[in-house]
Amino acid sequence: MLRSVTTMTQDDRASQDGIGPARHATVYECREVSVVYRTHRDEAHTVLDGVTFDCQSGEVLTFVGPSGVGKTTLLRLLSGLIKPTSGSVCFEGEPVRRTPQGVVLVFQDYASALLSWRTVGRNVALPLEGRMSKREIDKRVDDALSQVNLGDWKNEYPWRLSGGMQQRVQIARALASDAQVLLMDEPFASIDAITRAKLQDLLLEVRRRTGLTVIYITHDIDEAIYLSDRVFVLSGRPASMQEEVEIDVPTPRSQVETRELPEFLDARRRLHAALRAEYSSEGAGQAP
Amino acid sequence: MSSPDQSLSLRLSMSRALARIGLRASGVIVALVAWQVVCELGLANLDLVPSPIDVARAFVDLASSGVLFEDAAHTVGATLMGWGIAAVAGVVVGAVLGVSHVARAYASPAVDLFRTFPPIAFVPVALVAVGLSVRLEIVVIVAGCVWPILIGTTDGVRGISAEKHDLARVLRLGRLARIRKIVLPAALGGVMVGLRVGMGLALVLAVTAEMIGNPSGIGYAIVRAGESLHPDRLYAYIVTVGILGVALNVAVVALSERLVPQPRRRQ
Ligand SMILES: Nc1ncnc2c1ncn2[C@@H]1O[C@H](COP(=O)(O)OP(=O)(O)O)[C@@H](O)[C@H]1O
Ligand SMILES: [Mg+2]
Repeated sequence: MLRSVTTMTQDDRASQDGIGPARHATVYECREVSVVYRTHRDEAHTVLDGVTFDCQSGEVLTFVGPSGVGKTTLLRLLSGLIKPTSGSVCFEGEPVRRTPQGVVLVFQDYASALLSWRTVGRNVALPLEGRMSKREIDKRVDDALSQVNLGDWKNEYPWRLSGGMQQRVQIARALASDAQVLLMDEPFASIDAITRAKLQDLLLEVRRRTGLTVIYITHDIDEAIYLSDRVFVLSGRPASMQEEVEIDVPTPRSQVETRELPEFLDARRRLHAALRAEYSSEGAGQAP
Repeated sequence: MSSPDQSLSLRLSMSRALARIGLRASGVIVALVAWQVVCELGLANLDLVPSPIDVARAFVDLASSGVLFEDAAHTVGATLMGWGIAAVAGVVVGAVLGVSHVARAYASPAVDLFRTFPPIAFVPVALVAVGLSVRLEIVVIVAGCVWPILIGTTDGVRGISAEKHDLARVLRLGRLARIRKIVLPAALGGVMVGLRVGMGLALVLAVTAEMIGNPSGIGYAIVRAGESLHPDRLYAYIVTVGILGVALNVAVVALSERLVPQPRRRQ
């Protein structure tokens, strides 16, 4: 409810300014971003090299890549937890210095992302405290929890919940704080396949209802296609953007039919090819 | 119809609770019975060791005359006061050391040195500084039990995972909110361990300081009983210290369970 109001005013403002509907506004702009870590022996270790992309408001953008390639590093850049060694990361035109208002990072490790000493409800309330009245907080917490079907678990501690439910609490916490952009780092990777499918559908549902922008990280190609409007392949050492695949799979999507569509299979073939190219070139590079 | 059922289940759960208490107390009961038997049979020639029944009688005498409560109140008062001061100092300094690695670099060698000093060695110094008053016990208690609290707090704060710090930044919490809502609660486990260890130390230090320093409370009562050749009273006081120690520990544990819900404890 709340969100549809915000979206409408954004749309209004955008059309008044004559820059078209808000959902085409650029949220993130990354230009030639590189990240160099210092190892403990003080050697330079380049993780990301010249990563460039834009993310439009309302789209779901996914990065796939093997583990260790630098996917988490990319999300830490977008959320302002680290700064690029060179290049620029801008959110709505401003360089990112700290986590921008309206951006929420959903951590892969849900257990440490939730506070064990707070109930589910108070975890969801955490980012709202001190920013609005108690009644308003209560209303938003209830609303967010019912959106992820956890209305009955408000007064339970998160460690009594299953992994999938804990991940839903993290999503509720993002929804309650009026997030416009969700940054999700392999959020469903450690969750069983059946629950994962449900969470994917929940995410698509929430996104359809709220017009959220989602930047999603996964190493699962099928998941990337199922959720996204665009998929980027991140590979190489140091990692760079290898391939961009527009996903033309029609919405609404469903777990069974969508995955059998020719568009889905085509995207799948292209992404697998891109990732395979990376493996063979890596092998060739290592040969003496 | 349901009332006999209820009273039955109530009686069942009560007898189960009693059985559990009996089980836990069984070690103590066995020791007491063995002690009584040794005394009755005259197995050991111990004129100065009273039987448990003598001790119990002395305990009742002391309790009914009110002396015991006066002494216990003095010792518990000193214990709580010293422990409270040590708690505030230890948590504040420990949190600073936990947060700032600069502070830690400068202060931790000093902490490691000072905490090896035996607190009882401060009695002569404290005698000169504060004289014969309850402040002497407090000085000794603070000197001894500030260290476990400080170290527990520092470790608790340092042990907070990097993810928790990331979380605070991503949720855009201010500095104060971060400390209040994330750092301190996350460190509470370590703080509570320090507070428990500190409480046990505080009581022992109070009694010791009363025995060799300020002549009051249970410590001095133990000395008096020994010097006037009343071993039954002496043991009655020692038992009192034990009871107080258990009660204070239970209180701190209850406090910590209220403050820190335990992820791994399930009914
Ligand atoms: N803080 C850090 N310091 C040094 N190296 C790091 C740091 N964080 C990550 N790395 C290295 O950067 C690479 C990419 O890490 P990460 O972004 O976590 O990959 P992914 O999320 O794709 O698995 C890895 O080789 C990792 O060892
Ligand atoms: Mg990662």
